Parts: sequence; C-alpha cells; structure tokens
Amino acid sequence: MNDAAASDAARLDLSFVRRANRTVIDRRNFAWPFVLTRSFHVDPDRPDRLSVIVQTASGAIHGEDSLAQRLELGPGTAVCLTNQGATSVHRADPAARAVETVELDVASKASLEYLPEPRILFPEAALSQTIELDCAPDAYALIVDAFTMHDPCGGARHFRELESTFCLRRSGGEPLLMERTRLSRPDRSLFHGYGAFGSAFIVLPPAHDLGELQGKLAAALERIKGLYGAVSASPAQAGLSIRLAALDLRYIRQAFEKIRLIYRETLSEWIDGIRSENLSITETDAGHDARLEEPASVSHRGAASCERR
Amino acid sequence: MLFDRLQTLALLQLGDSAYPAGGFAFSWGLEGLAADGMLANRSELDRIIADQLERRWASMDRVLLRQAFRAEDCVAIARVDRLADAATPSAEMREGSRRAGRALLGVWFKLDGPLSVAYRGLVSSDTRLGHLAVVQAVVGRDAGLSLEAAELVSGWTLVTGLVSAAVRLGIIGHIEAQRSQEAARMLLARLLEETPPPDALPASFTPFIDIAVSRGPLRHIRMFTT
Repeated sequence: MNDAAASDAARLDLSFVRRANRTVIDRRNFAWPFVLTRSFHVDPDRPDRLSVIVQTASGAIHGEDSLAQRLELGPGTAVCLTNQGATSVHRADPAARAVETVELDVASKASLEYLPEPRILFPEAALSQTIELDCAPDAYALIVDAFTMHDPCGGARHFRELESTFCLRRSGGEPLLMERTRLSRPDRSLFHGYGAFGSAFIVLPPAHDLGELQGKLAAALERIKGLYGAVSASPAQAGLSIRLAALDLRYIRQAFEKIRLIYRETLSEWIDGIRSENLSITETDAGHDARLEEPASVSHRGAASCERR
Repeated sequence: MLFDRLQTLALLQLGDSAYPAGGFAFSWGLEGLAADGMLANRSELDRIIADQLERRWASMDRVLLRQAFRAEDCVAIARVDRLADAATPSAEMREGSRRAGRALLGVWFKLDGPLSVAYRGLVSSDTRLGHLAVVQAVVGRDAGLSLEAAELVSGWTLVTGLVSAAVRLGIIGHIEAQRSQEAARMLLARLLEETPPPDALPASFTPFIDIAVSRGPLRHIRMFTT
C-alpha cells in the first residue's frame, strides 16, 4: 500500500513491551471499525503471554474498506492475537476492492501467534490482503490465514477477486518466503468440491530441527476427516509451511487448533531442552548458539491473571 | 514465409520429449493426486493440466521467465531466481523446480551456451538458485529464441511432461494423450495471447497440486521426483 492509501486506512496500531516478566501493551491506537477491549494473561504455562482479541464494529469487510493493522512486538514479548469471529467480505462495486494490510514486527526472542478467524467471501466480493512479517532471526511466529465461500441465496455464485500475500523477512532484506494467491472470477471446478482453503506458517530460528515437528503436524492433519493437507519445510530454513484444503470450514478450524497446540507443545519442549542443555554447558563451551537464546516469554511460569497496566 | 524456420526448428529441438534434461523424472503432482484418489481419468487430467497452466504457469512461472529473460546480467537473473525460491513455500516443489532447472542448465553448459556457462557459476555457489522457469529464460537466450518463443516452449514442455507422466502412470493411453495435448494446446495458445503487465508479481493458486507434491515424502513408493 502506498503512503497516501496508508494514511486513509482505518488503523489498528499496537506495540507490546515486556515489563515485570509479562507482556503488556505499550502503544494502543485504533480507529473505527477496530475496537480493542481488555486483553488477558490466560495461559497457565505461559503466564507472560498476552492474549488480544481485536474486534471490528462492522463485523465485516465492505467493498471499499481500507484497513491497516500494525503490531510491534518488543524484545522478549509473547502475544497471541485473534479476532471476534469469521469475517464476512461483502460485495464490492465493479471498480472497487477492499484492501487490508497487516504489518507484523517481531523483535529478538519474542513470540507471536497471529490467528485471525477465516474470511467468508460473498458473491462479487473483491479483497486484496497482505500480511508482512518481519521476524528477528531468534524470534518465533505462527501465522494462519484461511477463506471460505458463501452464497446467501443458496446458489453457487462466487467472489469476484481475491489477492492474498504473505511475506516473511528476517530483519529487513529480501523476502525469504512470499506466498501470493491471486484469483479472479474463479470457476466452480477450480475448487474440486472443496469449500475452504488455508495456510499456516511456523517461523522458527534456523537452528531448530524441524523433522519431528513436521512429522507430528503431518500425523495430526491426517487424522482430520474432510481435510487434504501437507506440511513442508519453508525456504531459507525459515520454519514450516502448511497448506490446507477442506470440504468445510470446520475442518480448517480443527487443523488450525491442532497446529496451534502442537506448535506450543513443541516450543515448550525445545525451550525446556535448551534450558537443561544450557545447564550442562559452561559459558566457555557455549559460544554463540541461537538455540540458547530462548524466548524470554517462556521462561516464567505462574498463575493466570488479567492484564494489569 | 509464414514462420521463421530457424526459430521453429529451435523450438522443436527444445520442446522435444527426448531433450536430455531429465524432464521424465517429474510429474508435478500427478503421481500424488492419483495416489490420493484425485486423478483417475482423462477428464480429471485435463482439468489438472488446465489448473497448472492457468493458475501456476501463466501467473507465476511465466512471470519469472519474462523477468529473467529481460534481466541485464547474471546478478539480476539470480535476483529473479531467489524470488522464485521464496515464492515456492513447498520444499518438494522447490527441490523439483531446482533439479529440473539445473539439469537443463547442465545441458546448455555442455553445449557452451555463453549465458548458461556464466550463470552456472552463480548457481553452483548458491543452493537457492537454478529454478526451472529462470533457467528456461537463460537457455532461451542462449538458443537465440525470442521471449515469446521461450514462453511457448516453457508452457509446452510443461504440457508434454504432464501428459507423458499420465501415460506412464497408466491414467490414460497414447491416443487419449494426444487429445489431452490438443486441449492443452488450445488453452496455452489462449494464455499466450495475453501479455502479463511488466510489473506483474508471481502468484499461483494450485492448492491440490502443491499439497500432492508436498506429501511425496509420506509415500513409500514413488516413480517421480515430484
């Protein structure tokens, strides 16, 4: 999006910092239709992780909407962000299309789970969405994105246009991963009878061995009926890319939930393993090892509580 | 004269299924789709070929080929190649594209194509480089093809590779293969009539093919690399 378009866009602009071993919101700017209420520390095993639910007053994306989100995660923070529910994308006039841009900046040792609910594309909807993730080499992220189609008249009319881009960079530089989908007036046959499609990206420091995580994820996806999916190593040792096609949206949701659980479980195991290993390695032996730079977000355990600022 | 004979003969040579670049090792998802019960007959094959051409080749491979064909030097070609790598989230698809590209580049290196020789030096020093669409541009330039001819041979070798894989998988016979090629020929010609804008960015939507290729390592027995 160019500067002019960015300034016209309705914005949600949040930054997060780590204070007293917890993640808190440091900057909180938003304008209609975005609404942000209370955020929570609700994970018993990760009490410092802040869970944020972004709401939109309209509950939908309309033809000429221009929406922009920016999230900045400071060093050592942990954030899980979702929204209030699946977002309807309504018809756009022939010359118009809705635009949504999301900038995610994840600093050293921080951890982001960006888990927006799927998009429901109505007949004649036109949407261009971009997620730009800049993730420090020792930071972690899980990003999901999905869409389904719905004709309220019960017919088989489809959306008009969808352009969806996910771009990953490590501290600036050339894109390491860029998935771009572009569909214009799709024919029904293109979907092969499937009704929902999704992607998930797990971004990890390069030092991690991905084989076991990949195997766990693949096995979990195989057990979900109505789902056709695969897990594969991302370019530039950036983590894992997961592609999903499902007969129905609920199977995509099941898959995302499994992915989230396995991702968290594995991350905790790795961090515990690194901690044990760290204890047995002297400072002289350790040298520089990215695996030893654990996210500060997982190093403190305690009772869940609401955010206090 | 209705056509340039030398250019046409070059096209026939590069588009020949006997061209020694190892194209027979790749099914680009057909084997996986057949194994997963999503490809069993010619009608389904034709639909998958159309998906490959319209939703991947025309919007992604062709765009990368055009950028590489117009690139000023090997450094600029490598930039397009790295974009090809980043734009392919599936490791199995990336590996297949690089293997096919590097094999093609290897042939032209042995044939002393000057750009191929120069570019192979860069490819051998960076594991991300050597994607098929980019190498097709390099080889096309060495072969003296026009951009339009290089695009044509790129699209056509995809079609012949898919159809040939379908025959070897026992999905169709030789006569049906010709019918599939004829249908694909019409579609390819239609796609080539439209020129992508100069600032086009590579994009694709072939989820079933991407998934089928990525599931390759889960299969115990495979005939094809992809």
